[in-house]
This record gives sequence, C-alpha cells and structure tokens, in this order.
Amino acid sequence: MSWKRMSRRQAGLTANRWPHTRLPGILLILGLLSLPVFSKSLLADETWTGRTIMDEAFKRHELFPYVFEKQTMILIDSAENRDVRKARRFSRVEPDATVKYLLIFDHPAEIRGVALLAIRHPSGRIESKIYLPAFGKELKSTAGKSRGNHFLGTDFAIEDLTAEVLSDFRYVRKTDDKIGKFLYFVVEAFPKDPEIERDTGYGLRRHFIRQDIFYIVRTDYYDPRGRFLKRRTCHDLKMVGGTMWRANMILMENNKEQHKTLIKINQRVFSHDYVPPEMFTSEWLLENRHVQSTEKRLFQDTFESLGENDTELKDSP
Amino acid sequence: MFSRFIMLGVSRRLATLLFLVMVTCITGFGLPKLRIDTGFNSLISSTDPDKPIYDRIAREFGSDNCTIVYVRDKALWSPDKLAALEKLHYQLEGLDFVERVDDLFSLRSIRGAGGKIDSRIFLPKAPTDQAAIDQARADALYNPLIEGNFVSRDGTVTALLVSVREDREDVSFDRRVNQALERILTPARSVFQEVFQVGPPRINAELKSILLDDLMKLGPLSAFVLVAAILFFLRSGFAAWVPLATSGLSIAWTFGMMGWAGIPLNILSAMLPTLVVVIGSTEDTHMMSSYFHGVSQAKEDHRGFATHCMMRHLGVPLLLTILTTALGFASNIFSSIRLIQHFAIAATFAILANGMITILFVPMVLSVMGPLRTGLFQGGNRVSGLPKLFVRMFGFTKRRFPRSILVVTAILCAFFVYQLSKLYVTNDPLSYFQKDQPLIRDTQRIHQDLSGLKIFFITLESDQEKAFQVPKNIEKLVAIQKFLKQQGIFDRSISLADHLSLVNREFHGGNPEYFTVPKRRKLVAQYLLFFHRRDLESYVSHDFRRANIVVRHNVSDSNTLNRYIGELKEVVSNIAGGQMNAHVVGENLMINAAAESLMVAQVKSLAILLFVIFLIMSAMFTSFKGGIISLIPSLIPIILMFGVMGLLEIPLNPGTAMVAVIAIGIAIDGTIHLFSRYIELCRRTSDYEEAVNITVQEEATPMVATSLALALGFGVLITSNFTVIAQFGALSAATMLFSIFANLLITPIIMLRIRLVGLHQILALSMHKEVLEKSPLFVGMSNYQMRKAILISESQEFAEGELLVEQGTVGRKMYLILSGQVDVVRRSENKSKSVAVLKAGEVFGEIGYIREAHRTADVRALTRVEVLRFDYKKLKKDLKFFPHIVANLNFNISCILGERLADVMDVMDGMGPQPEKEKHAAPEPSGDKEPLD
Repeated sequence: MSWKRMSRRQAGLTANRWPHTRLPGILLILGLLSLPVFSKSLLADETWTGRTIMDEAFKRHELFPYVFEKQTMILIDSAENRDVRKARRFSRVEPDATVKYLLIFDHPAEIRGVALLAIRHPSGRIESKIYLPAFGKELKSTAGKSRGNHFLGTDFAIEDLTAEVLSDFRYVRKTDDKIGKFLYFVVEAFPKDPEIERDTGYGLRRHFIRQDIFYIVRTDYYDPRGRFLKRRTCHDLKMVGGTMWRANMILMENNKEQHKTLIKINQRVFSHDYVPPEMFTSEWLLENRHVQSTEKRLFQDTFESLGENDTELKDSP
Repeated sequence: MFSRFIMLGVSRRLATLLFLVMVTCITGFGLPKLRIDTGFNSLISSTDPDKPIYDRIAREFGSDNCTIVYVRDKALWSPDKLAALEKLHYQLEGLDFVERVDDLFSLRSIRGAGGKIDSRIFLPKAPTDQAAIDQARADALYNPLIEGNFVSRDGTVTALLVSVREDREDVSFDRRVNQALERILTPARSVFQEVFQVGPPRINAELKSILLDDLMKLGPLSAFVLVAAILFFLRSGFAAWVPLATSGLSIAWTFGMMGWAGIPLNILSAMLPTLVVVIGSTEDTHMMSSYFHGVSQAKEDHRGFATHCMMRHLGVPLLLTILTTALGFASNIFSSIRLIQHFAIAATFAILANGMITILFVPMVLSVMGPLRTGLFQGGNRVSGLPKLFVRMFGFTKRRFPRSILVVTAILCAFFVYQLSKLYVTNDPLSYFQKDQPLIRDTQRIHQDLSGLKIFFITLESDQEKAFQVPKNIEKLVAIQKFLKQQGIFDRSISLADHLSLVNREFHGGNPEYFTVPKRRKLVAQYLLFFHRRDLESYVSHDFRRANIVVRHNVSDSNTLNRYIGELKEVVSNIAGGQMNAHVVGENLMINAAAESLMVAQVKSLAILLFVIFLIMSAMFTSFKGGIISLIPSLIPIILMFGVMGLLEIPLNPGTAMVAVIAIGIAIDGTIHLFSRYIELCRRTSDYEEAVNITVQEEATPMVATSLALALGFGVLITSNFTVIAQFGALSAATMLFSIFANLLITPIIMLRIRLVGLHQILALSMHKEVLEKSPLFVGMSNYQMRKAILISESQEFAEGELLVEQGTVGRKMYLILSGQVDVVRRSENKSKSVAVLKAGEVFGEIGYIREAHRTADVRALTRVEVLRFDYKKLKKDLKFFPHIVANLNFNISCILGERLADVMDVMDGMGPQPEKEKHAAPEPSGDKEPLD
C-alpha cells in the first residue's frame, strides 16, 4: 500500500494502534518464534506475485507516520575520503496521505540550519524547498523529481529516501535468491510509463526482500538502458515493533560515480510530538526555529540519557 | 694488433662469416620483442621537478589525459539528433576503459528564477518535444561553464569529454581505445554532419601508424637513393650492393638489440634505417673508391692488392670516423628526455654495429668476389664529373683568394651566428605532425569552436582545513583566472570560483551582477551542497585544502607557452602569497618544458662532443693546434645550419636538436680523410701546396659522392609524415652540402697552413732503433721525438746502384742512412774515386742543408738503401709547426757540423788523424725522386 493511497483512517489506525502494542516481551518472543514457520509457509506459496510481495513489505514496514531520526551522513569518494554531516530528519504522514519530510543539517557548523523541506502531495506531486540560512530569509523551490539528481551531494535522490508509489510501477517477481543465510524474494520494479521513467531516472530497480521479515534489504538501480547505476543496502536491522523492522545503516554505492553515501541512524523516535505539523512550514524555517528545534527543547534530557543508536517509541501526549 | 683486426675479414674469412651469422641470429631473435612507444611520457624530462607534483595533482584532480569527441550538426537540437547523441553518450560510457563521459547527459545545470533553484543534469534523457529541447539548448548556452566549453556559441557543436582509465601495462592500450572509439563514432558519422575524436589515444595511434609508414617508406627510399648515387659516382653495381648488405645487417642487429634490451621504437627511431643506410654507406663508398683505386694500380692479384691497399689507407680513418660518428649520436645518451635517449642508444649501437660489420664484411667480400676492373681511375688520380666541378671551382677560388675566402666565411659565420639568436625550441607532440594532417585540422576545429584540447592545472595548496571555503582564498582563484584572461593566450579556465559564482548568480535570479564568489564562508559552504562530489572533484580536494584551476589551450609553440607559463607562475605565486603553495603543472607543460632542457642538453652534447673530438683529433695529429684546426671545417656547416634554422624559423625540436651533433660526427669524417691523406703525402714531398691539391683531387670523389649521397639520403626524410623528421632530414641534407663547401674549400686553405703528424704514423713507424739512437742527428731526443722527427722528414728507398746525390748539382737536402751502405764517389775529369763508404746511422749532405752549394761528389747505393731526407726549406717551414723537434734537429746538425769543422781543422793542422773517409757537402742531387704516390 502506498502513501498516496493510504486513507486517513488507515493512517490514524496505524498511529493509534501503535501505542497499544508497547512491545510486551512475550508478544515479541512469540512473534519471533512464529516467523520461521510463517516464512516457510510463505515460501511454499507460489501465489505471491511481485506486487503482493511489495504490498506486504510496505504494509509491514513503511507505514508508521511520525518519525524523527538523528542521522550521520558519511560521504565517501573514490579515494575513500570521507565527509561527515550530521542531520535531523523529520517525517510525517498526514491523514490525507500527504507525506512531509524535513531534513535539517546540524554539522558541520558552516551548514548548520540548512534545511530541505519536501512534501509529497496525495496526487504524487513532490514539492520541495531548500533553505540556506546564510543566503537570507528565503526558501528556494527545488526540482521535485530526481531525474538523475543527487540529493544535497549524497548519492540518494529524494525519491530514494521516501517510499515509492507502488501504483507507478509494475512489479515482477523473479527467481528467489539466497544470499548468506537468508532467502530473498527478488522483485523487479519497472516504471509504468516513460514519464515516470524520465522523472525517476531509473529504468529498473531490483529489490531483494528478505523472506522471513519482508524487508527490502537491497535495491539495485538501473538506468533506462539497463545499465547498473547504484545499489542501496540496509544494515544493522532492528525490529522496532511487531513485524516492523528498520535499518540503522543505509549504504548507497554509486557505481557510476564511484561514490558512496552511508546514512547511519543514531537515534530514531516514532512519536507524533517530535514532528509537529508547524515545523513543516516555511515560517518555521525562516524564523530559524528549526535550529533550536522543539525536540531539542523538549527532550534534551532524554537525548542525553539515551545516547546514540537507540530507538525510542513515544506516546502521543 | 690493429692491423690484424682490420684485416680479419681477409685473414679469417670463415671465422668472420660465422661470427656475423651468429650475431645476426642472436639479434634476430630479439626482433619479435621489439615494441613501439609513442607515449607522451617519453617526451617528458625525467629530471623535471614538476613530475611528482603533477602525478600527485593528476591523482587527486583527475588526469588531463582526456579525449574530446566533437559533434557538429546544424540541427543538433532536434529530437533525432539528441537521441543519437544520447546513444553516443551511453555507448562511450559503456566502454570498459571509460571512466566517465562529461557532456550534456552528465553535466549539471544550475538555474534559478522566480524563487526557484533547479540543480540537475542538463539532459537526463534526450527530450522528445521541441519545447524541452529549446529549454535545454537555452540552459546550455546560458551556463558559462558549458558555453564555449561543451557547446559552441552558436549551439551547433557539442563535445563529449571522455576520461579513460589508463592501463600502463597494456602496450596496445592506445590503439585499442582509439579503435573502440572509432567503432562507435563511425555509425554516428552518418547521423551528424561532422564527428571526430581527438585525444592521446588517437594521437598515439596516429603517431604509431605514421611511424610504421615511415619505417616502411623511408628505409627503402633511402636505399634506392643510395644505390642511385653510388651507381652514378662509382659506376659499379657491386659498389652499390655492398652498403646495402652492411646496412641491412646493421639494421637487423640494431632492432634485435633494441628488442632484447627493451628499448622501444619511437618516432625518432623511425629514421634509423635511413640513418644507417645513409651514414653507414659513407664508409663503404670510401672503401669501394679506395678498392677501385687499388684495382687500377694492381699488376697482379687485383683483389688481394686492392683490399690490402684499401685497408692500409682507410683503416685508421675508418676507425676514427666510426668513433666520431658514434660519439655524435652517443652525446645524447644522457638526455633526460627518454625519446632522445632511446634514439641515441639505438643510433650509437647502429653506427658501431655498422662500423664493425663494414670492417669485417667488406674486406671479406672484396677479397673473394670484388670487381677486377674499374673505369673509375682510368685517367690516374684525375677527378671527373661533379667532383671535378667542385674541385675546379673551389681550387680556382682557393688559389686566387685564400684570404678573401676566409674573411668571407668568417663574415658569413658571424651573420649566421646572429641568426642563431632567433632560434627557438618546441617539443609539442602535435607539432610533430604535418599541418595538413586531419588530426591537426581536427584539433584546430576544437580550438575554434570550443576550447583547446590541451589542459594544464593551476593548484593552490593551503595547510588550513577548508581553506577554500574561505571567500578570500577563493578570490585568489578569481584573481588568477583574471590574469589568465589578461594574458589572452589560453582559451578557458574553470575553477571552484566559477561554480560558486554560478550558484550565487542563480540564487539571485540569474542576475549577471551576482556572478561573483559569495562574500561569506557559510554561504560558500551552503552553496556547495548543490554539487555532488563528482561535480567538483576536478576543482577542489575533499578537505578543501587544495583548489585547482583547469586551463584549456591550444598553444603548440613551446617557446611561447613557456614564456607565458613563466609569467603565469610568477603571478600565481604572488597571488597565492606566503601562506599557500602554488603549482602550475600539466603533462603538456612538462613536455613543452622539456624543450628548455632540450636546448640545454643540445648545448651540453655539442660542447662534450666538440671537446671529445678535439681530444681525439689532437691525439691523432699529436697537436692541440691540430685538434682545434680540424674542428673548423666541421663547425662551419653547423653554424650555417643553426643560422638557417634561425633564418627560416625552424624550431629546435627533438629531431632538429640532433642535427648538429650528428652532422659534426659525419662532417669530421671528411676532415679526417683529408687530413690523413695530406699527412701521408707530406712525408713524401716538401711541396705542401701540391700535397693539398693531390689530397683534394684524391678525396674529392669519395667526399663529394658521400656528401651528396648523405644529402640525398637525408633528403629522403623530407618525405616523412613527421615534421620533426622532415625538418631533421632537410637540415641534415643542407649541412652535408655545407660540409662539401667547408671540406673542399676551407679545409685545403687551412691544411696549407699546417703540418701535422699522425699519431698512428708515429706508433706504426718501423724504426731502426739502434741505428737512430747512435745517430748524432738524434742525440738527446726521446723515442717519441725521434719518431716525430722521422715523420717530419721524407722517407726514401733506393735500389742497389741507384744514385742518391749527383756531383755538381745544387741541393739543400741532408740524408740519414737508416739501412744499407752508400759509396761517396768523387769524379774528376775521367777518374772516379771512392772517398768514403757510409753506413746506417751516418749523415751526409749536411753542408748543402746549411748553405746552398754544389754537390762535390756522387753518392750511390752500394746495397738497397733506406734513408731519411731532411729538406732545408721544409724544415724551415716546419719550424713553426714543430719548433721543439726542428730546434733539436738543428742543434744536432750544428753539432755534426762542428765536429766536421774540428776534423777539418785537425787535418789542416796535421794534428789529427787522417780521416778514413772524406766528408762531402754533397750538392743537390738532380736525381732525387719525390714520389707523391
């Protein structure tokens, strides 16, 4: 199920259901124990198509609407030189399926306060704006579609960081693959029309989905001519609730540019309070409120006590 | 030992043949290992201090080794053409050796307007609708980093910049890359109006192809010219065949050695076959000429006699000329430019090999199958044909106006020395090609429509982290680029400052006034977020400590380039200030900078060669003065050659740089032959002018023949597709012609004014040591001085009964008996009375030597007699040439005379014993023979 198609009720349900799950230990253990059995039955079922696999993967993992992350971005060039940036990422799914996304850079000092605000409207249109505090109080609209674009010098396009619109693609299940000790569904995603292909810049994406948890662990990107462009792999997977998993490290290896971007999630909080709607506005940024952000003011102590690489789930107040 | 060596081909024919076959086989196995190297690295001086800096910068910012694919079409901005262009982009990008392709399908466009900022690839995909195409065209022409760099100002030309991953291990890499590129471009040529590629792979591939063409063409052509010249001058098919055989063997040996030693063929080596054929043939020509001379004089065993004559006459000059020619080439062995160094090693080996083959092979062949007849010397030593013309012309002038000739020559040399000051150097690989070559035309097109193909870097280095996020440091880049513009010689420069200025302009709605570097560091850092590392990796290091300006140009003249670069380096250093290091480097710059070292190396080589030749000649002629004088005929052609270069604006390049040293090595050969013959003749006559005339007459034919053959042979190189080789050929040919002038006109005038004794003569002299040591004439003289004194004198042999001195004649000659006995007979009326019998070591005729008087007795050989004859006039002349020796001789003569006087006084006083023999002041014998041949 896509963000676009997700109804307000569904989004609300998800949001409401989450607090009740609270990860009771016993349920977690039972869930874990049942996974292999469940997976086995899945494997045996040949009726799974590319699309149903993707639906299932999205249903399990992509739907939590309020996420805050503290990230470290490591940009690695062909000579293995590294540039490190630190950022905060806020995302929020509105009841009308509008997805809002805000990325704020905190480090290095020169780019502190640089913000990228992206909004995916229910129509699928992406609106994105960038704010450079050093330039002045003005937000500049940027191109929404990636078209081979790099997102602020990383190897990710904006669309690589947000969930894909399932209806825009045709999914074809290929022969399952075993990599290491896990079995994977291999699903190829083809743009349904040339315009989508042009907008994304990809002719094909090949997803490797772990069969036991339905998590897309690897995606290979190919250009419209079928040439391999880059590979995204997810590492340090953590179960963050029920059947939902999250990767604490995402690596994008750009074969064409011989460049890599590693996003390390130092902290992740699923909480409505961390992503208030007003922070996804131009005013919030122009008033530089994002620099002394709400979460910092409200949860400074919590941050300090949690340390890095912790995932925390917060109830709505 | 030397005599035995030069006669090995005759005395040990089978062994010699086996040796030649064996060496040919061994070297032959090296031939398959021979490889071709046309890489630019061989043009860079190994001692260039910029090389490690360049390597580091190229590693960090990417090599300047790129190929430009040029595409021109009036309808370039149409769906079909852009689709074809996109296909081309992907095809190129798909090649395994291609690192990246920079073009409209990969370069970033940053454009801002109406509160929007759009940073994306110009053409992520070829657009199909005209509106999108028009927008893309407008974007491209709007972007100052693209317009005139990747897209021509009129929009009809675009460039795809292809960077390749060099595989230095793969010797056929350039050819492979060039072929792969051409395979892709060939179908594209039917789509676009014009498509071509220019870059190191094509340049190297074309260099290689032309090199092979030259190898196939120049060798046979020069052989043909040589055969024609020899047939013309020596009128013998056999004489034409001999140098071809020796040259063929020498080339095989040389290429085989190069294969074994891992010395590659380069563009200069392409002329090796021609050089070997041409230079090697000079000795063969001299030898054949001498052989024919021997044949014409032989009474029996024509071959044996002629071969022995040939080797006796030419042995030493042959060895010396081989040595001096080899030295000419060898003087470049220490060149820091590998291209020249490799050529020098190969050429030196070739000349030495050719010398050895000639010394062993020619006598061997001649002694077995040499021609038994010749029409060459039917008129005695008379010179005929073209040489005769030269001899007559020069002889007339030389006799009439010797001083004027010297003065005119000096003025001419002064004028050409002045022209020499206009000489300039160049070492650009593209200048090796003829101007009408498609490659050069294509390079010009790129320069006219876009920017020059050649690239260099200006790098500033700071020890401060993120130094180039600081606006005042980035402004330094702007200042340097501003200066580059002022210089007005370089096409374009791009730096980090341009990228930041562009973003700044676009953030201000495209207002051109904002095409400036942001004033605040934070804004710089924040603008930089709009670029992927790939976009900037050619312009700034990842830590922003180092910034790089990429400069494109089309300057081929090293002299101009080096001048501007020198100026630029100074300004860059000033702008960088004390806090930063500044470097101006590029492969292209190092190649051109090598031109400077070429000049220095040239002067060094020339000086070393002249000094070594001076030493050799001084030793050869046992006189430093002789050493200096013998250089004059070689220096004149070189001065004229350099003057012509200055006058005709022919640059000094790796080809022309070698002309001087090679020409000296060759020109000195003629001088050696002339001097050797002259010295030999001087032993037999006191008429030095006649000796000079005879020398010129005898040597004119082989000298004119070899010089013209050399000029024609070098002239063949004019047909080379390489400018450097063509220029080398033309200048060498001219120098050979100049050497005819110098050797036949100037050398005789100089020779007349000197008297030399050859070291080889001194060493080879068979001396009656016991006789001489006891002789009063040589009292107090060392063995060496005695030998030299003997050589100053004239040596003569008389058969038994032959008259040495005739009574009543007038003569100023004194004799020293080396062997045999003579009878002194006084004739009076009808009576003859033997007054004395003189034997080895004794002297007679000493009074006539001192004072002109009639000989008072006959002196007749009782046995076969060998004498040394000392001529008063000659010794008087020689006093200035050999003052020490002649003074010693005169002193001893005065002692002898003193003794005689004392004896006479004793007799007159009746106090002393009656002498057993009468001493006579023998009058000048009319029967003295002065054989000149």
